[in-house]
Amino acid sequence: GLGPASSGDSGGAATVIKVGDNWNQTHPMAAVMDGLFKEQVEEKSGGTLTVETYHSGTLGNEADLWAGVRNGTIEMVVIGTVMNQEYPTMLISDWPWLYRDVEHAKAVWTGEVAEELNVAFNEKFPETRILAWGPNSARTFTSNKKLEGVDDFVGQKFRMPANPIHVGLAENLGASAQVIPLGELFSALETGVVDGQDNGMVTVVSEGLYEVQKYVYETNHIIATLEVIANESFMAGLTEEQQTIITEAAQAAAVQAWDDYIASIAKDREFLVGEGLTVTTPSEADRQALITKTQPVVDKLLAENDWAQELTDKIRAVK
Amino acid sequence: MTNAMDKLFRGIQILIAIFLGIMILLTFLNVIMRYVFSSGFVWSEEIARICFIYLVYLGTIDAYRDNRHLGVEMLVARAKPGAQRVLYLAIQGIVIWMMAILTIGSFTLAKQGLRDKWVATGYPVFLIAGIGVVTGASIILLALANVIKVFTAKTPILELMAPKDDPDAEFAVE
Amino acid sequence: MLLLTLFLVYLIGAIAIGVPIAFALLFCSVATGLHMGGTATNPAIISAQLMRGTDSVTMMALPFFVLAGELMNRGGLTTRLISFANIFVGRVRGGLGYVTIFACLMFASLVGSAVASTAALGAILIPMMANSGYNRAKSAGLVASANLVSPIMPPSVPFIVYGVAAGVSIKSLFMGGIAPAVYLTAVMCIIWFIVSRKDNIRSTDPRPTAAEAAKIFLDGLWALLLPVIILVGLRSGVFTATEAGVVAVVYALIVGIFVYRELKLPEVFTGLVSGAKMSAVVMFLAATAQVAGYFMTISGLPKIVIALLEPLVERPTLLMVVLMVIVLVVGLAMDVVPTILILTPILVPVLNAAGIDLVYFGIVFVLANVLGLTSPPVGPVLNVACAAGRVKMDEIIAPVIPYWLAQSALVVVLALFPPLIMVPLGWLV
Ligand code: NA
Ligand code: NA
Repeated sequence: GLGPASSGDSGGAATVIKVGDNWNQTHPMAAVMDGLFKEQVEEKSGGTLTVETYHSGTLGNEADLWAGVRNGTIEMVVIGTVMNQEYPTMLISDWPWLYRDVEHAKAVWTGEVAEELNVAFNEKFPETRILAWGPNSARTFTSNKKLEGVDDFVGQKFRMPANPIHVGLAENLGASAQVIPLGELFSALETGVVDGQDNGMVTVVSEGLYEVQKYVYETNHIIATLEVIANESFMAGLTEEQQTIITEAAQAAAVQAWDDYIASIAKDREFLVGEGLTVTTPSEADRQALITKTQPVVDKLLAENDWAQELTDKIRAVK
Repeated sequence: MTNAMDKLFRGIQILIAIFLGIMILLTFLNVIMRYVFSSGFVWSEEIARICFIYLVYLGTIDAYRDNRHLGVEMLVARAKPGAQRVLYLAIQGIVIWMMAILTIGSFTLAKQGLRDKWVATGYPVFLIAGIGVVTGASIILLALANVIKVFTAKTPILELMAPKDDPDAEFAVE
Repeated sequence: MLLLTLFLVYLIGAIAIGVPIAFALLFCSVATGLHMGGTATNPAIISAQLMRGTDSVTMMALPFFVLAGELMNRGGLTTRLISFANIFVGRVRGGLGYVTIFACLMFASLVGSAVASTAALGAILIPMMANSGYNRAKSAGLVASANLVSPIMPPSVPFIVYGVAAGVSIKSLFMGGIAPAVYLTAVMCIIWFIVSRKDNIRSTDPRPTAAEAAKIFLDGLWALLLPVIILVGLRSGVFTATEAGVVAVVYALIVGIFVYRELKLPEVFTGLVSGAKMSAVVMFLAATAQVAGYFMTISGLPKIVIALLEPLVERPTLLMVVLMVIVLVVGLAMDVVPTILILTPILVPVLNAAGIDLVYFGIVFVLANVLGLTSPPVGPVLNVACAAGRVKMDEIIAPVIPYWLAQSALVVVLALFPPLIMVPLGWLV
């Protein structure tokens, strides 16, 4: 090739791994791909592998990235669960109130549950190979109106993703759910088309939403994951040793990202408080009340997905 | 033959007008719902997006037939008739090549998304990706017809390239 | 570097022989991809990028505002707005041109994208100027250039994209955009003053009496109310910018049918067809630009930029000027948002090393990017203005050049004198 493909250290022989994601480089998962993953792969492979990262959706949105890694035009992607319609088990990433806290989520997605799901995922999508599960974000509610307890949701307008689970949560809490594209969210919050939205604090900071929001309610109602997925025929075309290097680096990167993410939550909270926002962590009683109020959403999910009871039980049992 | 084609394309025009109408209706309804009933439809955004995609892909075919895709004709206009024919054939060749890529790629995407659905409406993904096949194949046919015209019809090339009269244009001006 | 050169050669070559621009963008992407080898030309990824460029809720504002413009024309709202504007500027030479420039500034405080505002205003203003005797292509050129103020005057989509990518306050960027928006407007007025001298168009109607003026005002009140409704509605959060397009459609329908009684149902349908057709042309072009942006990214644009800049860190002013010239050149073929997304993460470390304020930089950077919207071969705002004004692409280029040169000069001036932005920003925050 004539392009960046020939830019490796070993004089043009390096194989390039293009890694695409849809976050800007400050997200812990994007940061570890730039850092630990790239360094480890390039060093351990002795320069035979080169990693190029493409953030902020420059290679496409999540659906494009997923299509790209399936047909081999992108070697590796870090994406959420866009495939959950075709493979409903991936709905687990959006399952409400599944974890005790973020540490618990880390234990689940860097442990045995993840390994078992990897096998099932690769059977379902033989053209890809899933390597690791990193943190996406723990979703919190933010608003311009007072939002410090369970009852404050009533009558407020929240921008929610166009997904029945998310919309169901807001509506069961007594709020109205509005679908507004992410690109218009900032100005919709600024002008008051909607009062609030739900996203991880990492997004509240990185998208600048804190400039137009006053309250953060740290519900962590959904702790979503980001999957590191490679194209299978690309992987199979490498040597055994190279494959191991990539897999181990991806898993180490995911562990690092979970730790970074957990550390970043405290930093983000501090930053938001410093910007004058009121950040409230629900008491245990409030958390129970939130769970009870939104139980219909979970019940409906359980009724529609026969695999779910077993898997959610297994996840809850993880120490 | 031409008459049947005219009817077909009139049908496409009516269809895209209906799609635009639906987009407007749903978006307006959402504004009303937000204030009057303090709620919204989750599925309305997806339906509007589906309509928009169909509108663009179908409208692209129609625009190709009427030569309304924007281009620069300075060079062709100054070339001799023989060179004009060569340039025109080259243009059609490039278009056919690009649309073949769109047809094949969209077919692959449609096949890949065969069991996949959009989240809120459950609308099948292959019906979205598949519109690329329709657009690609239709424009290939139109371009092939253009190629045939070069060899059979005596029409000057610049006339073949000229934007077809838009029956709606007169309204917009006055 | 070779790949990028090939990319541009293929693009310009294809456009020159008369390939429609949208297909030329696909062609240069595929042809460059063939040089890269590997999976670059996989049809599936090209088709997916094209679909991605089409599937955009924000861009729905385009057909909405286009239709609103059609309905205003057919429903008699436009003619009443012209009569109203004529009361004030009818006897000034090139009067409607100034109306256009200030209408764009006013509208810019409503919408954040030049493409959307050109679609909205172009469909109204270009026919309005043409009907009053102005050259159609010159009118389209003026409307295209004047609409570049949209993404500079807050709100602004590119400022949000840059603010997020660079990690700086979006509000500061918004406040900082007001002064350059005023400069841009001044530049537009100066150029229009020079350009319109030759044509010497002014209304020959006698000055209306007070009673006539009052009648024109009352008659046009309903039409005048539309911008007010949109302005207030957007500012107070009743609807989003996309929804504003639909509100404009509904309002124009009601006034055209029930108040002015000039709009008939078949005409509404013709308007729908016309709006849908025009939007399809522009959106297909925008989607193919998305494909081309993807190929520019993977053909190594980021690396080239970094290599070029490293020696300039010690000389911030020179760095600013060089960067802006690069952006103006890149803007010939690239769309605004992809360029900002690609370049910002590369540039931020360089800027920090050079000690350049990221808010100041962002404002000049976005302005330079936005100028790409009216520079051929890939100028989305030119395309919209052509479609809205029913002008050919070759005809609009010459009228746009004087504005583009003056606006580029403004970019260089702002790169040389930071206080022009930072002092007014200091007053506002
Ligand atoms: Na604006
Ligand atoms: Na340009």
